Amino acid sequence: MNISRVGLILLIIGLVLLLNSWSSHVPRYVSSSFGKAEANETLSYSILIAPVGIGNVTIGSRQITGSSMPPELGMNKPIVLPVHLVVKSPANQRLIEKDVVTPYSNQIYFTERGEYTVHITNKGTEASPIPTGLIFLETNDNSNRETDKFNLSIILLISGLTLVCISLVTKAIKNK
Amino acid sequence: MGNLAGINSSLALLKAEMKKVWSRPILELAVILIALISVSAIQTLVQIEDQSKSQLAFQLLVGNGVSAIMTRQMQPLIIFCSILMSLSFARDYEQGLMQSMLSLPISRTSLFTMKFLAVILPLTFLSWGFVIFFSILNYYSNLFLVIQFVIFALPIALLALMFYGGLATIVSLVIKRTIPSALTAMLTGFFFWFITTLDTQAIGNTAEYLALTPYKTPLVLLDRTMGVIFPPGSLEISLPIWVFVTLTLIYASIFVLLSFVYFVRRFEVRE
Repeated sequence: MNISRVGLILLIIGLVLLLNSWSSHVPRYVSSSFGKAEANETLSYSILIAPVGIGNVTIGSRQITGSSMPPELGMNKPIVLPVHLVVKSPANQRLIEKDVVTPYSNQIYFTERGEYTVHITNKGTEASPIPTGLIFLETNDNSNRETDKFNLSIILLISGLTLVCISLVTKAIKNK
Repeated sequence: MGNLAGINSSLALLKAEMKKVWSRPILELAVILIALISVSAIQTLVQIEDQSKSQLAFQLLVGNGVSAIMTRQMQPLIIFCSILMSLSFARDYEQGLMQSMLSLPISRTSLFTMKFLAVILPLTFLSWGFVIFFSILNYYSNLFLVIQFVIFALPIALLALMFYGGLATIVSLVIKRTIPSALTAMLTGFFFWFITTLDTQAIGNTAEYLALTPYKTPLVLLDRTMGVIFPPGSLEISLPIWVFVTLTLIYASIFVLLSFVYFVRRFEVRE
């Protein structure tokens, strides 16, 4: 296989990846709740996420999106509860560690692909569910694109373009 | 010495055949189509899980991701298998190249094998390459797990492609004309896909057995090896895995053997 074909194939893959990283969107809202936490018990959540930039981690908010559930059922009622919150990055760095009262939201900049862990300790006196969610405010904005895919697509495009150019120049020199 | 010369001439034939079949712009078109289809199967990774079950959830995510890419790839692979096999066999016959090849000191067995492999092997590696590339790209935070999963996709892709390759070969050898054989092989391939889209409302209880069709069986086998979850009580989960292994092997070899026997024993060229 000659150099121009390799370049063209890299260019194609780079372009496909660029289109994908440009057009795919993060969901506006993701939420999960796993059982109740007794007093002084800790619930641990894993956020499996791509490097999509700024997102809001919400604790104790029971918002249900895209649901036709009537508000009178009380599902949108937030949980008021004192908790101790720890959020760790995939590299095990503590991004947040503080005592807060739910419903609570904190902005996190997701820069790594992998598992962010959220540990929430119930500091109240009664058992309570502590739902955890993620809100992305600007889903149609470039700030929530997958940066690693975007960067790789740029690298592939540049390398493909370079190889195609080298092959064209070599051909031109040979023909001369 | 004679064996070595035979191997060398077979390899030279394989190389020449690959160069001819995958000439510009066939490879580039295959890359575009398979890359576009594969990338449409992956979704942005955003999920919240119970930490005690996060490893299991990640395994499911990777398994579903690999399965989704492979499933999406099957349709462009059917198209390329049909076109390339008819280019390799029927066009060579139409242009009189087959007559020249058969007059060379190469056995029909070698000729058939090399022509078949020249299409199937690059397609398999192209398909597998994109499965690896997009799976690693989406889940590289647990690289070891991803590699464990994508390894299963290689034999499954090869066996699935052998079915469509064998089908396209026998069609090309019988029809002996490029366009009609490519279209016939494509339509027959798509028929196998189409029947898997039918549900119980359309064909009643027979729909439960669609997991045993040539299109679905290798994909179910891949899902089973990766631990993808099926609805409880479905045929995909209730049958032992060896049933799917056996069926996949039977499907993979049936048309290949038929076309091989036909090419070696019955295939005649006009003067």
